[in-house]
Amino acid sequence: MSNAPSPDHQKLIRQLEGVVQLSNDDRAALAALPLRLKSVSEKRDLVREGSRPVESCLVLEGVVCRYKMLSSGRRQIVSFHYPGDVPDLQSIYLKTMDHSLASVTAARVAFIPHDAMRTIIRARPDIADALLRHTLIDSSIYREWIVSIGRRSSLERVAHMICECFVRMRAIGLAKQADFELPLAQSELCDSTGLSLVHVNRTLKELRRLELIRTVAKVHSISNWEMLQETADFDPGYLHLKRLAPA
Amino acid sequence: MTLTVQHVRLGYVSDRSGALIFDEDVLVGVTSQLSEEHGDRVGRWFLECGLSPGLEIRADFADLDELCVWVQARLKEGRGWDGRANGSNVVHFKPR
Repeated sequence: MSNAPSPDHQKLIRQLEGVVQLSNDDRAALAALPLRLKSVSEKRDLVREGSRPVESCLVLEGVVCRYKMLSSGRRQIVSFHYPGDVPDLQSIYLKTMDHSLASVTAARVAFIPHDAMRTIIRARPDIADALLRHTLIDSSIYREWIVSIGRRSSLERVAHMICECFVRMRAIGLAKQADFELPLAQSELCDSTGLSLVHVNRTLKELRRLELIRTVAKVHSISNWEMLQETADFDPGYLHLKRLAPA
Repeated sequence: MTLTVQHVRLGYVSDRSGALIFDEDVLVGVTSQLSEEHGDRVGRWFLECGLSPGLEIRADFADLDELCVWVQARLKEGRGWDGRANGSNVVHFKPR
C-alpha cells in the first residue's frame, strides 16, 4: 500500500478530499482500486438506460452527462459531470439504470467494479461518508436545476448553466475565468435547460449583446463574471464546494 | 377546418417577421421566421407558442404551409376533429 496513487486514482482521491478529510490508509485503499480505462469521442453512450451494470464510471477527462430519452426521441439532460465525479454511483445499489450516461466532449473514463466499491465503502467509513456527500450534492444540483427549469427565464437559465459549469470546472482546477471555454455545445444547453435551439440561440445572442459572454468559433467564454452571476441569480452555495478557488 | 395565417411583425431584435395562425376565429399559434442568427435554419418558420392542447412542442418547419399542416394534424389529435377538409387548406392574409 506504499505505492503513490496513479494520476487517474489521484482524481478520485482529490474529489473525495474536497468534502472529507481522508487518512493515508483511505488514500492507499482508493489508490488500489482496479480501474478499467476507456476513451470515447464526444456524444457517445457509456451506459444505457435499462442496462444492469456491474461497474461504476469515474470521469477522468472531459465532460459526461446523464440523460433520459422520451419515446418521441426528445432528450432531457439531467446532470453534467466533470473529472473526479462518479456519476453512476447509484448503480452499486440500484441495479437497473433508470437513465443513460453519455460523453458530452471527448472523454476518458475508468470503470470500477461494484464489488471493489462495495468493499471499500464497507471497510472505510470516511470514504463512504465522502461518496454519500457527493450523492447529496448531486441531489442539491438537481434541486437547483428544477428551480431553473421551473421558474427561471431563458436568459437566467442559460446564464446559470454557464456559471455552474465554470464554477465546477474552476473547483477542480480546470478553468480560470480568463481562459474558460464552455465545453457544452448548443444542443447540450438546449437539452439541459429545456429550451429550444431557437430560444438558446436568441438567449446567447442577448448575453453577448449585454457583453456578459463572447463567442468565437461557436465556443462561449465569460466576459463579465460579476454581471453574469447577477443576471443568472447565481449563488454557488448549492454546489457545497469546500474549496472555492479565486476567479 | 381552415387555418388562416396573418403576417405580423414581432418584437424580437432579429426574428422580426412572424405570423399568427387562426383556426376560424380562434388564435391557435404564434410563429416567427428565423433570421440569419440561427445559421442554417434561416428562413424556416418556428412555432413560438401554441394556444391549444397538442401544440406545446417547439418545432420549426421549412415554410408556413408545412407548419400549418403540422398544426392542423395536432389540432385534429387534440380535439377529435372529423377531418373533412383536405390538405393544409391555408389562407394567407397579407401583412398588416
